[in-house]
Amino acid sequence: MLGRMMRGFRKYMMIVSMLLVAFLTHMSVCGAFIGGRKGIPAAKALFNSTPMAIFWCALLAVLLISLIAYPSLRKRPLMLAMHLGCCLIIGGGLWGSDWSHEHFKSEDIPRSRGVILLRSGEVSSMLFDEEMKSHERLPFTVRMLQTMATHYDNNPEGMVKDYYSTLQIWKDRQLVKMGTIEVNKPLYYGGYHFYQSTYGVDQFGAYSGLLVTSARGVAWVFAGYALIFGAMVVHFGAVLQRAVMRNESSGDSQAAAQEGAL
Amino acid sequence: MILKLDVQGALIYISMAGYFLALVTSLVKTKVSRVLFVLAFLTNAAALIYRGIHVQHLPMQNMFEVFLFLGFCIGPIHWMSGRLLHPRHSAFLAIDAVIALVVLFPAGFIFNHQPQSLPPALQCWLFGPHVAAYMLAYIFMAKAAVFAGAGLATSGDNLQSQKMLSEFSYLLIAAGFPMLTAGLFLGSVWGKLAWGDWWGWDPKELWSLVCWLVYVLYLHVRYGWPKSYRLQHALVLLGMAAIVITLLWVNLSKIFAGQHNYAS
Repeated sequence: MLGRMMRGFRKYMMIVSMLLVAFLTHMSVCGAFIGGRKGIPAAKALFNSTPMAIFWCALLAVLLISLIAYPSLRKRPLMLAMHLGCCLIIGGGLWGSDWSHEHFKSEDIPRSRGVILLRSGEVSSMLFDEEMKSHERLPFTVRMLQTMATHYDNNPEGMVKDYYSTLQIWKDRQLVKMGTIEVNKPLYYGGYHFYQSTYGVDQFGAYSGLLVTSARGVAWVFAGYALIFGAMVVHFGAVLQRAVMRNESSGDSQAAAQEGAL
Repeated sequence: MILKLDVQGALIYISMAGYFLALVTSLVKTKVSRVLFVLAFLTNAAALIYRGIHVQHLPMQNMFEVFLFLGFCIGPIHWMSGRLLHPRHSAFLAIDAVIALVVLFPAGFIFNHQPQSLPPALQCWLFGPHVAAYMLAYIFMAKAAVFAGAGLATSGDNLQSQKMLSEFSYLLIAAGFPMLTAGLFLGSVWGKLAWGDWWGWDPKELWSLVCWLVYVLYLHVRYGWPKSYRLQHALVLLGMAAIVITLLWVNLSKIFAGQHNYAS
């Protein structure tokens, strides 16, 4: 009786999880159109909205329940790792989302992302939102030592090759971190990454816009990705290896049968 | 239509001619078609290397280079899938020659091949692995879609053919899906390094997620309902449609403007 109920429950869980994946697929298509027409912030707002936060929690719950409800999943470590990896990505994404930063604020990480505009020699601890309308105080100070751009030698349009900014981070009047950032090479301090985001030159000289983003949840996400990818390589690698061995051992008789069937 | 009257264009056209002749001869003279296929692949490789030397960076930046690279992927995938599915079947060579012609045509006749310098965001060690993982995955999935299409065209009563075509599709997806995942993973790491977010809700990212999710659905249907061949074939074709949209529509139309626009 209990066994029959569990079988029914598992079938129901499988259908629910597939419906949730189908819904996410549908929402991703909608998000792509919204992002294309109204801009990426509109798509981001959709996926960070409270109804979608409920959806993400439901997806996470279904994945976790599946791990308990399906003994076959627990007995296959690679399948288990792939599903655990998905849980880590969704969990890390939720923990690092704008929604989470709004609802679970801390003094060290007052907001999920912001910008700091600085010229050479200037200091600031104010983290503005991307429209420069509101700001929060960071628990440390950023000093810009130098900012510059390099150009391609042989490019007739003078295309920029890279942008650089040398930064110092000061906390309690002590230098705690120093480094040169460039595109693709951020600096990490105090739960934040500092990025070379914008660059310009006006009558007062060169200035840089630093994008500052919280690193909350990122390690979970990358651990999840690594788990999924590693498990997939081993699992599907074994599937492919079995197929090659089957082909080699079956020889010409199977080959002839396949040729006929095709 | 842009005719490329230079060394770059000549190499692409020779390669296309080789694939075309390999296709024509595949059903009658298989040994000749294999030699032609190898020559076409080597010419495609030469076109890619020539491009790399000419632009002085990995030739994967814009649509022209991406399609040239897609053509190059056909060779290694042909030999690998030969070991997986059937080493000597002439129809497989013909399928690969057709895919090669389809992907080389835009490189040869549609996309502009004016050399471009790499913008700062693309100067990253992840640039090559991220794009290459996706391109290899796309070719595997394209091959899987051919078998899925054949499965849908075949009568549902012919269970032996349905099972075999479904198995071929599955094996190709088993090879391509980890690469699709690798592309997503590397893209996320790169997004965090370059733009500050591992996921930016950009249209191209969302369409890439759609591709991945469709294959996730396919794998679950295959594990849960292994004999639902027609549904599996339909999902493989849906996945391929999502890939075509991700690769072409998102980059070429103005509907999906976003952070990946430099690929246009």
